[in-house]
Amino acid sequence: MSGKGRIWSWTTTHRSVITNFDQVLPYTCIVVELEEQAGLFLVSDLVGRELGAELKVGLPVSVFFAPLGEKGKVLPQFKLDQDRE
Amino acid sequence: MTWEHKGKIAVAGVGFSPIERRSNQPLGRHALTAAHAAVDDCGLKLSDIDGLATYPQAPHLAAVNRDGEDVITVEMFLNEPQIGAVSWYSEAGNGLVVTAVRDAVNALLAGACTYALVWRAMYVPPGAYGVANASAALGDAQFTLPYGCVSPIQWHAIAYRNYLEKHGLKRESLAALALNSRLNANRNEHAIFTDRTLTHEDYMDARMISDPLCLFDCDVPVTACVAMVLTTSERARNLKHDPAYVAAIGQQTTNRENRLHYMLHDHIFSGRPLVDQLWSDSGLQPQDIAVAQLYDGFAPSALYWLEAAGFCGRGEAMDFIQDGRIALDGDLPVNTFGGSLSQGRLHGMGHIAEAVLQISGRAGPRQVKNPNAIAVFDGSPMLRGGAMILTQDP
Repeated sequence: MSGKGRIWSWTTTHRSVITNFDQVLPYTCIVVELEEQAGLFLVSDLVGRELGAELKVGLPVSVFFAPLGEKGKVLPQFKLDQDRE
Repeated sequence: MTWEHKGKIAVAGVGFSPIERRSNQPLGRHALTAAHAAVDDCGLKLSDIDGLATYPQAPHLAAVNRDGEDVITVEMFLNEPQIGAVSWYSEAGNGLVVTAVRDAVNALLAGACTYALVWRAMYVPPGAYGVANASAALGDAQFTLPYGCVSPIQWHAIAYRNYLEKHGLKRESLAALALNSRLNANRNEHAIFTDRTLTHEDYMDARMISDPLCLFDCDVPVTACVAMVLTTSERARNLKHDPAYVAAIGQQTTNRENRLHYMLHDHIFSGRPLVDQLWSDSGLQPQDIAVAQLYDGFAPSALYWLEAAGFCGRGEAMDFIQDGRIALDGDLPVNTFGGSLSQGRLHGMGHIAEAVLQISGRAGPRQVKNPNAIAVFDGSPMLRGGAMILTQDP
């Protein structure tokens, strides 16, 4: 897997839907269509993006793995890929 | 070919409880109030009821699903002393209110009962509505919960954003639906917003919940119950008001390639089996429909139904709802009672009750002229839907 994909759609959530995320409101969730296969989707939050930055369907994103809690767990997340169009 | 049972079953009466945000009355009281109102509307008594059906589930993650408190199951009415000997009952487990109504239609056709009471009760708990807390992400949730993407409003927002982008539309245009709904609710005594107006400015200034969905694109949670009585058309003709005949009723599910979130790949294709059945069973076409009651728990679902049902073409629904076309005196009045957006979140039961009131000429200041056929579309064609057509003549 290349870890690359494109934004299929997104939403920026402003109201609490799960209390665990109240500290980071508002935040943006995206659905990513992976490069390897049409119709293969993952949900992610969009990291490293300033709220208000223009998003579009089809923008390239790439994965990175963020540490999550203890025991070496990681969480795959996506960020905008500046190197591709 | 026309349905062999077309017009054989009718909705004979409807009844409402008070529609409140948070109530100091238990939900069980609302349910009994609505049930009494529904049988009164027929000139019957609760003891005449021998069939029961509902879709009982509370629709949010924080629900406790306790009978009489935040849900009203069949069990509550089975234990109600005023109800007669019940010969048939049904609880639609993972369906829609149309599922419960359809169960009642089938039971009446089969002779399993004579007067069926169908209801939907909804409850607003204290505190923030539907906000969950999680310490672990299990099963499917491990692919969504770590990202804070867990609520139907987020999934609807994601699908709707893709729809807007695909068709080059602006979210501001959806104000037309919210404003139309509010005007109609202002003419409806059974609505949470009977006395509250909504301006275009209010809509534009509304806070975002999960963009592109703003506050007024979301239905308003209420504590209330709506009930109705169905029976055979023969019996219905001897009751108090003109019956609303069931010309067609059906359900639809979407084979979701991706069940983690809503995709809206092709809502027109998904809705096709249901829509084709409705037109075939009823012998009617979209142009024969006088009024459409379209599910609007999240407002974009009404757009998807307009397209899936064939009232307009793909990507044309946003244009369709503009310029008064869906107003009470427009080409196709939509959600003449205020919809879930302005009557309150009654999960489609308010839509059906309004169709009955319009058909029998009892919609008062919002009455549409000659509503000989009314279509109700419940749920969403991108997930699962139910629909029915009610007519003035059998």
